[in-house]
Amino acid sequence: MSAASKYVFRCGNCGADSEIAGVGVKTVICGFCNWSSLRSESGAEAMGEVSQVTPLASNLQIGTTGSYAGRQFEVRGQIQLDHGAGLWNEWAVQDGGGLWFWIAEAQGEILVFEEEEAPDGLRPKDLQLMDPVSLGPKGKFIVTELGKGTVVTARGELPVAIEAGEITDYADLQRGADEFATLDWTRGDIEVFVGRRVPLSSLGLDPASQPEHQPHRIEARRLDCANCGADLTVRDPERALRLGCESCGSLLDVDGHETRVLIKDEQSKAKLALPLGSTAEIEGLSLTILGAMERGVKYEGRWYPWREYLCRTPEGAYRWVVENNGHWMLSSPSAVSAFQRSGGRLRMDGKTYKHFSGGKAVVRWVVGEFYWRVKVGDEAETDDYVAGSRMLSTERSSGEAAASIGMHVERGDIGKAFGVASLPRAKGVGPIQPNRMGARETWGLFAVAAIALLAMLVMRGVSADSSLVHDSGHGPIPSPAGTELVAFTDPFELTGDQANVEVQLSAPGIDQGWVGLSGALVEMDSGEVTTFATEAQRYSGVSGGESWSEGNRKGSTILGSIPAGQYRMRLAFTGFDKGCGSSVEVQVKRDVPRPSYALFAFLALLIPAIFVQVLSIKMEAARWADSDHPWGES
Amino acid sequence: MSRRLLVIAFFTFVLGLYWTAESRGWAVGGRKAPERIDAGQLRSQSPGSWGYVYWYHGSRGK
Repeated sequence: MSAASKYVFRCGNCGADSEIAGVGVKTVICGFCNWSSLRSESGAEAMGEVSQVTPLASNLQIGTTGSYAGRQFEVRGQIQLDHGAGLWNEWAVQDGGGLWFWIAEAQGEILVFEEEEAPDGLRPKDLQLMDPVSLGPKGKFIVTELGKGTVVTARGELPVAIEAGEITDYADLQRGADEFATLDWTRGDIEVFVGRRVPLSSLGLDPASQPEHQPHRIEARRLDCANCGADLTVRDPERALRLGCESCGSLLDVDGHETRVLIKDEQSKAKLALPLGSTAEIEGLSLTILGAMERGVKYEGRWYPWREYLCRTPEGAYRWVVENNGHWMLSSPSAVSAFQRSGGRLRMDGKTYKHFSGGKAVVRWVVGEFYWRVKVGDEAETDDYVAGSRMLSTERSSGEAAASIGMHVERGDIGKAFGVASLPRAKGVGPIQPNRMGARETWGLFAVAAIALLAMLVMRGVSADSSLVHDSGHGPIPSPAGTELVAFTDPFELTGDQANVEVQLSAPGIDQGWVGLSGALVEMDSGEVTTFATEAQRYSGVSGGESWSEGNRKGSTILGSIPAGQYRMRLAFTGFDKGCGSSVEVQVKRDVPRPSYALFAFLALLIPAIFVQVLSIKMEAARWADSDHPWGES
Repeated sequence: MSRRLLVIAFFTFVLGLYWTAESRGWAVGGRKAPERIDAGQLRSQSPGSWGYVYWYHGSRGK
């Protein structure tokens, strides 16, 4: 790729000639003597010597070419910055048309930025953490970090005026999951850079122009503990700023190949469930544990701790494996602007996250290496929001807001992935432990079964015989009360397979009386007897000015599983009150449907669904009992 | 056995029980008497006959 026209720049210090792009170049650092010069219309202003850049693992170097969004580009300059969390590179890139843009590499992420015109009225003093800021046509962004950084060093040619050692004032902004912006007002006026997170593959880098020292080729370094002399393995040596010694518990500052004691022997010698340096493949990510820390919140005098294992992927991205009461979660960084607030809830990717708990999280101990200057006692305001097996966590500390999205991982899967046989036993219900009671599934099965039952009920109603096989009238019932009227029916035939028989007694004219029937159904060939009884009654009156009535002029009983055959019945009627003297009718029906059975079956089907629902509710109640919003408490 | 299979098995049992009870005419009304009536007695309409039923109901038979 050839950028726009090139010019020869002569170093004011050593006199060496360098070929530069010319268009838009404001700072040139001599590749021979590291002398920095500011270009202006009147010539070049000498700014002095800058230090060598620290050789951080990178996918880019000066001269790397690629193609981003249809723009052929070449990397022409490099700035190394430090915002208090270690060095990172920003690469000045020029496309074929001579236009400049920037590629930043931070924690395994690739961000592509371009300078935009600052909107009118934008003032640094108006910027507040987590507040929205309008960047004109680029839309609204959220302020996620306000701070000061240092330009450590630079090389090559840059489209901005740079002075090594300069303290920069900046604000980082985000919009959605992938859009970013940086505001810089180091030199008074606000400069606006807007860009987005992109995958490395979108840069279309020419492998032949890439450096050898790429993030996935970083090798571990061995350092001695400055306190106890223990041999410490640093697996991410280019970014490690803090080390917690596993042997003596000291917290160490890392300075190149040296360590310096920051806190001596004061930390507890934590026993880690997952050993430092162990590797695992989880959810398609290859992870190596770099460090671990315990954080926790204090609530009503009680300490609620959890352990966080910092992991690095081969691409240089960081993830967290978090253990809380034996429940595990894999957590990834998320843009704080990737979610929307709605009342006490957050919405992201179509999911609503309910607030679970919040508080001031304090670091209690630190072991292993960290890419920021962590120390015991560090505090951050944290809030956790849950949606099913996912947790969205927000953190706010001085000048910085961050978010992460975590997903539940089974304890057994963690053990298997890291090759650890025994992990802490899970206690209680985890905030995002999946509810495997299966209430929803059971209700689904219940619905299917209920529909099947309804179909059977209809089928039974259609197929039932319900034929009248006997009908006879009797009476009057003799008096005095209790005197029997005995009758014998003519033979009648019951056909079909074994089925039920309904005997119905009707006393349509009865009023203020009772009639009872004791019967015997006899199969004439075998002499088998089935006895039964039923009654009909009707009473009414007025009491306290209110009229009332009770009883039914019809009574029936159903005899079960009566085989086919010739039958006769012996019927014995007795009366009481005005039942004596009344006439009755007896009807016999064969094979009548029993809707009550369907009701019983329906209730039986409800049992497992309700049982599982109760278990599920109990599990949720136990889960939320450990939250800031226990069930039953306002 | 998984919880899902247990639930399906239970539901199948309940539906099967319902269908069996309906199609075979199961009912709680009526009781099978422990003895049979002599076939000869059945031919008679005399209230004094059907001795067993007479006794079983405690009826005076008049």
